[in-house]
Amino acid sequence: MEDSGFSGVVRLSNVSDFIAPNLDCIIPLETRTVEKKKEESQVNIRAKKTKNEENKQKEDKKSVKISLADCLACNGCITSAETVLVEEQSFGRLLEGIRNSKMAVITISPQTITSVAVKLEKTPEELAKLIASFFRRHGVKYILDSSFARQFAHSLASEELLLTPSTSRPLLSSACPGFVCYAEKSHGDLLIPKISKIRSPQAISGALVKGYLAKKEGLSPCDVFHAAVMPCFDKKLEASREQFKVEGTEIRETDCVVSTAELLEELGKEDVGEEDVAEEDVEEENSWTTSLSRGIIIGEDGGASGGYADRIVRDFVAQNGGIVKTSKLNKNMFSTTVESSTTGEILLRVAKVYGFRNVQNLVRKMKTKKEKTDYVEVMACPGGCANGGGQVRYETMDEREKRLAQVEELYEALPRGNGCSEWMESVREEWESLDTNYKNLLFTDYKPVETNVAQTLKW
Amino acid sequence: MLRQIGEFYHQGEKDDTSRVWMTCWHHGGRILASCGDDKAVRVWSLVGEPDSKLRLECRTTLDDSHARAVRSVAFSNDGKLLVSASFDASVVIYQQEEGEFTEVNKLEGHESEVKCAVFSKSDEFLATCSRDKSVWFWQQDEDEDFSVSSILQPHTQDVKQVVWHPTEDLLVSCSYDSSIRFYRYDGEDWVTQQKIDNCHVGTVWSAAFDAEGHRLVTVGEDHVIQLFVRENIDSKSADQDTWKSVARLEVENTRWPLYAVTWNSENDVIATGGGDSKIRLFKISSKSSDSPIIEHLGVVGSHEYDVNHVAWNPKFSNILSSASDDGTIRLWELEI
Repeated sequence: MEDSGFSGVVRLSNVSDFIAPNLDCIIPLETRTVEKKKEESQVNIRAKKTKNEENKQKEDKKSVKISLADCLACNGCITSAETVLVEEQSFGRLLEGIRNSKMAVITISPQTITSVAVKLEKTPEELAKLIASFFRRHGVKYILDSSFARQFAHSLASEELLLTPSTSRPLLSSACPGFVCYAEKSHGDLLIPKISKIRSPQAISGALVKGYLAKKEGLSPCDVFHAAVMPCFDKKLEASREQFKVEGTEIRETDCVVSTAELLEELGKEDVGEEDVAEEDVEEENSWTTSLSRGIIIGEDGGASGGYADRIVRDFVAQNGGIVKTSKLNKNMFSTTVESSTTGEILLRVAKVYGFRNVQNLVRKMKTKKEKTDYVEVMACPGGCANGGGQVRYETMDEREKRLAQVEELYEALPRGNGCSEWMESVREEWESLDTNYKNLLFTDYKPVETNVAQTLKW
Repeated sequence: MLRQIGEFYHQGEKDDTSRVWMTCWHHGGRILASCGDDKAVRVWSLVGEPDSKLRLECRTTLDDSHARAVRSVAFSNDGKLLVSASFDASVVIYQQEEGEFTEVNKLEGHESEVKCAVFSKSDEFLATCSRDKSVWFWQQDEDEDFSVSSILQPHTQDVKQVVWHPTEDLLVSCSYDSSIRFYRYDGEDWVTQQKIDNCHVGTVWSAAFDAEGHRLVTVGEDHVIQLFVRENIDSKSADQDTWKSVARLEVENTRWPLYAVTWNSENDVIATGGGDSKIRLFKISSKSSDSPIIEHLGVVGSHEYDVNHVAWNPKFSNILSSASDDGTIRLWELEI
């Protein structure tokens, strides 16, 4: 279970726990019917059961279903089966989902594209076209760049920070599901109020697909299948959150998430080559739904983990001016300050914290109120998303380091802009006309999770 | 061979006892810390002299730091700090000043019960291990706060104990998954140096190095005591070296686990405590690593219930302390 693709944070707290004899599943406590031991059962072995008795027995045995969402809650029990449930979000299921839908949309992360590009030794643009045509052949209508959804998140970030009083700072980025799951399970009181309520790009993409695209195309959300290809397995857990179901239904906004490595495996199976890239359809309008298929990838400053910290700094400086100073404490900890050009006073403190160990230290500092930053970009995986648990894996340490550096380089070189803000504006306008409350779909909330029963024991 | 010289109740009087999990000697040999199910840590003075009546007198009770049983307690090697590990998933650091102990830090982060917390020989690192299967390394920073240096999850089950090498930054962990693992610092991070699976049949409960750190004994669920030696004593440093098993002895006449082991740094005598309430002594018969034999010197003492921990006094090398489920800490004197 060591290399299952989950981030260290989720692994430690969730996945690889095996059932201990005295740990009870906390979820079906309400639904489990205690089966009364029939005292006379031994006597009844040969006796014929009456029809009534049989029916009653059937009623008494309610089947207890445990879903993936429940599993986020608990610390013991069937977590080896939890991986089974997560493995349900497999490529096979993805293809099945496409087949059974009226419209299928795939969201791909730029981390995925750069990771596979490094492996297959192609440019990200070539690979984007390749992947798009692979999915088109399977019947997918739109292949989206998650960076587009991320633009929405970015556009809301500075305002959110402004509205956050200093007592509620640091504001913590919300894009990493490993961190969010960890915060909800441990230190819920301390961390949850401080996590940004802005949805992650995957979640915004889900809302775009099932809330906007579906309406636009006159389809009901249940007829639309949305899948995402992400750099980690934790995103599978994120997709199954209660908060990311279409309102009033049990339909997930993102039905299935597969990791970069799983996509690579599938591409390998079909032996996709350059000849297979479909001819560019000149008639097709260049917009956010077609950009990836045309090899146009949306790039961004600030690193391969979404550039949240960077965007906050840029927006701040655009508004207030100031001198930006960045220092790198180590591979996984960066600190940026914005100083007033006149007084030298520090106006803004932003940090990037990656990896479980640093998350632990961040939490400790926050507990003792020693953390002076305004905003922290938190990622559960050391190395950030470029090094996510679901990215393409290599055998040796050296190889891994080398390839990671290449992925980060490629990511950094992705072109900026690409018409993104116009597309975003026009989507906003149209979405508002379809749904006046669309803005709610750009935000989410968090719930602390009851820890396992054993913690409440008094011995 | 071992004479009981005192019996002290960790908590209250005889009828009000609760299990004592561990005792730890201060390097000066005159102070003992104990901990147990009553959620408290107690600090005792060893009063008297070896020839005249030696006894423990309780000086301090630290009972408001933990919400659940305290499983392990340890002094830092310079004696200035005391660390306690509890089932409440936290690790508390106390600072000692002129005999007074104050809580200065609470280290949280483990997901479930912390089983052990110990300082490295240089006091630079603190290692903790837990039922959450992980081993954490902490370091003190400039603010005298502790920050996490590395988190490793090498075991597949509960990690029962972590033990530091006497001279180098090498740690060994013992687990319910029947294996032991060795860890060293590579300059940036803690890494697993060696894994030895199927060390015992069942849980490996405890381990102890000899005075020089060339040999290691482990005890486990299968009431076996096993001896490991370093393979390249002359050419490699302890943390770069590998270990191999050279002898094992199954204690007969018992079906209970051996829970604790301690290796005397002066006279090389090994003491164990087990689920059968007995304290036993062992000796390694030949110093050469070619064919050492573990000799069982016999059952030399007993409690009324399981013996959870045994520890030789670092200064008065013939004195042994033991902690038991019967609620007592006992002092023993070795008579050869």
